[in-house]
This record gives sequence, C-alpha cells and structure tokens, in this order.
Amino acid sequence: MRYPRFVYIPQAVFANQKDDERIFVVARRHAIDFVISSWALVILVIAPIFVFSLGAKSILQSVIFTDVLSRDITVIFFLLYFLMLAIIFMTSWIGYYYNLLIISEEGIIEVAQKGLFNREIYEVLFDQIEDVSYHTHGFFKHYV
Amino acid sequence: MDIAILLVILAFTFIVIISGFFTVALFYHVKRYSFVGDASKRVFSIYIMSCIIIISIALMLLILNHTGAIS
Repeated sequence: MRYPRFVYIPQAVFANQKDDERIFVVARRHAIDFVISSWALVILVIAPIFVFSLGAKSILQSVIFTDVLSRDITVIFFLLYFLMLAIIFMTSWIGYYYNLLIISEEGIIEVAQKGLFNREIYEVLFDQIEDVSYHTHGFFKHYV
Repeated sequence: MDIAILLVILAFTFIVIISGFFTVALFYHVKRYSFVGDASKRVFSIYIMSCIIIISIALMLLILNHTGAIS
C-alpha cells in the first residue's frame, strides 16, 4: 500500500516493538523546557559579538592582535569556542528531543536519553499498572 | 616551514578532526533514533551548516592573515 506524504507511516520506534503493535502517542517535554535549559548557550554565542561591538576590538587589537602568530592563536581559539558551543548545543538538543514517552496499544515506554552515549528504555505493560500519580514542580512546568 | 605555522595548521586540523568525530557520533544518533517526519534531520543539517560556516570563516581568516591582507 502506498501512503501519501502527509500520512503517518507506522514504523518500529523502540527496540522491543512487535510487528503489529500500533503507537498512539509519541510525547516529549515542552520546547520551552529546552529553551530555558539552553539560555546559557545563547548568551555564550552572543557575548563575543556583543563585546566586539561595544569597542573591545580596539583593546584586543592593542593586546593580542599585534603580530601574525597572535592573530592565528585568536582565530584558533574562537574556532574551538564556537565549535564547542555547536557540539554542546546539539548534544543537549539530542538529550531533549530523544527523551520520549511512547504510548502504544500494549503499554507505556519511556526512552531516557541521558547525554550522548547513555540511553535507557523502560517499558511497562498496561496489565502491570496498578497505581497512577503525577507531580508538577516549578512555574513553567505548572503553566505550560 | 616555520614551526609556528606548522603548529597552527596542526591545531586547526586537530580541532576539525575532533569536531568531525562528534559530528559522526551525532549523525549516528540522528540516523538511528529519528522517526518519520520529526525535526532531527533538520536540526542536524542546521548544525552541519553552522559547523561548515565556522570552519570556513576560520580557514579564510588564517589564509588572509598569512597572505598579508589583515594587518
């Protein structure tokens, strides 16, 4: 059967999924949670541009931009700085985006992605659920 | 070749290789764990583009620095 592009195509989402197991919900944390946790990265990206625009360029020129080698070192430093920020951003984004709660017709599966190289999957069948409770903590988690 | 220039080239190459290693690890995650229609591939392509832009600008500045265009 051919599916149109906009139709959700059933596929294996987690490790122990059965062939005919349907998935109803794939949920993750609200995007605001990621925005709040990555605000420091935004400041670290903007800070050098902001400092340069405020006139620190002349100070840097007098201190470190004196010869070819010092300019090379400055370029290498900022290359390392911005690449590290890009890697940290992408790693934290993967930590946010691959933390999933999947509700299928068999049960609930929680996928916990902790950093880049640590991934845990918890599966609970509906037959095994005896008690359900929830807890919200904090301003944004309460209202968003 | 001047030892200082050689060290700069080595540092640049080392940083790019380490960044490439992390990019391969991130690509593995995106390839293995992404679903149909999710935003993983788009965000990863933005990451790749930003890395290419950063490395290109740094390389361009290093070349300009050694050709005497920046003084």
